[in-house]
Amino acid sequence: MSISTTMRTDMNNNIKYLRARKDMTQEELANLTGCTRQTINAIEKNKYSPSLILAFKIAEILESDITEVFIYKA
Amino acid sequence: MNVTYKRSIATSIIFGILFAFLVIFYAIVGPEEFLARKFYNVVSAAVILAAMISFALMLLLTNKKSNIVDERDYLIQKKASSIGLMVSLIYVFLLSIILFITNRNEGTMNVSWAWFIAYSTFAFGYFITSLIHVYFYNYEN
Repeated sequence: MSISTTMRTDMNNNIKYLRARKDMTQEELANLTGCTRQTINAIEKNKYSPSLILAFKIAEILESDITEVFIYKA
Repeated sequence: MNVTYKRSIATSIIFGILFAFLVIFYAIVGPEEFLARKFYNVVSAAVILAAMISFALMLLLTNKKSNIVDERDYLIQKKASSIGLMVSLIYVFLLSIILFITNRNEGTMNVSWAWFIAYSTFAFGYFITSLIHVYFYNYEN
């Protein structure tokens, strides 16, 4: 059993870039998605893989396609 | 700092103090004296009650509608609880085995040890789980 909540998956994301493009802070994105700023920070740093629902919410708020926000490294 | 993190810090402090008190108090008083004198039972009961009231007050004071608890908080809670349970089981196992080994030759053991195991496990369980929780939050950010 893993003792860490870190899920360093084969995923990258462009949240930071897309957020900056919309001039949005982590706190604002967190409020709009209904999660905490710490969670957004962990996702941005690839320390946490969000659920599908949260991933879709983030993509919707950032007005991007989910594949543009999250990139799977095959 | 979100509410679950704050609560974990407060819980680890409250139950850390309670656990330390139980261990130190029981070590000083001793099992025979603890059983013989009602006063020691009252003192320990008062401290346990104070810890429980502090815990309840902490939960009430941090209970706000604006609190956000998200999926990552639940994941951390889940992991901290499962590890906390394992550590608590190891604590009970080791304590019981040590008592067995030390009292093996006499064939009997003071019944107040059962009281100590019960309350110290309760305090230790809460303490270690919240400590692991705090660790996960710090480790992640």
